[in-house]
Amino acid sequence: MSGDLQIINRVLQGEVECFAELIDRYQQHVTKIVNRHVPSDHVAEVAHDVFVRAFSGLAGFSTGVPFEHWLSGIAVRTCYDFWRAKSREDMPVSAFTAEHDAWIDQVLADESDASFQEQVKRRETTDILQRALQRLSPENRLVLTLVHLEGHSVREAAQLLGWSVVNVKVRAHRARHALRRLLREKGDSAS
Amino acid sequence: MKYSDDDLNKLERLLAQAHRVQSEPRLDAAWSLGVMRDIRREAAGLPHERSAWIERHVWRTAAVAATFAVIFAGSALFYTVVGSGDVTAVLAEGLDSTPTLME
Repeated sequence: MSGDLQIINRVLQGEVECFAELIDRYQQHVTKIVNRHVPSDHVAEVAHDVFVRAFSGLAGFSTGVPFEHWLSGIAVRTCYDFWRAKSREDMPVSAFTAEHDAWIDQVLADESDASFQEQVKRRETTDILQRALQRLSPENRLVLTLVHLEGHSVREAAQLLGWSVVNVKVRAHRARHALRRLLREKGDSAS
Repeated sequence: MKYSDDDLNKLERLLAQAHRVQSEPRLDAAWSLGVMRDIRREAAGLPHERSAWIERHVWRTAAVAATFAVIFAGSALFYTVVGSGDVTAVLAEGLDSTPTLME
């Protein structure tokens, strides 16, 4: 089995079919990233774009970084472009419902760790997360997801997004503040 | 204010964990074939299916914009020439009617 660099060199020399091997190797990795940033019914379409972009930009791939890392950056930036395109559309923003309010109250009242872990898997948690993220700008959304939800460092997020560390740091702070404000407002309106 | 900072921290922790445990969709062989089809098109210099529509519209818009630009430039040139012709005629008339100092 050839290494990534060998395959990349062959693709760059015109053996386009070799790219299928890279798709095969990194499909799961790309799907995993894309799935964390875009709705599940758009994962296939965005992952498709990631590989087409990777192919188009292959000549610019630097051997100084692992291919997987380079591809991760393309995946994150493609997700960012997805949300930027969506933000130009007039997308309806779903509000929190009384059902969500009741559920949050129940979660906050519950002290047990086992119950907390159980709540993580509940549909309501994902629903609240999606509704909160929907209200953020594409920039804040991406940074919040990378830094606060996935636990990437500011430097890693900056590398993935191709932004400056300072920009990501400021965005991370603003995005977290925005999320907490949303949750706080929700709490105020429910009381 | 209904939620304290501790409440918000707990909610944040819950949302972060919910984000991490999302199940991953599996992409099938047909998906890989679709990607490779676009990549072959890209390699052959053809627009891939998704961007073909956009490209067509970009070219159409560019053609319309170019037509308007030509019309605008043409009319600007025409009126400039006509306008400067009038000025020349007025100046010539003015010079003809001015008595010379030699007379």
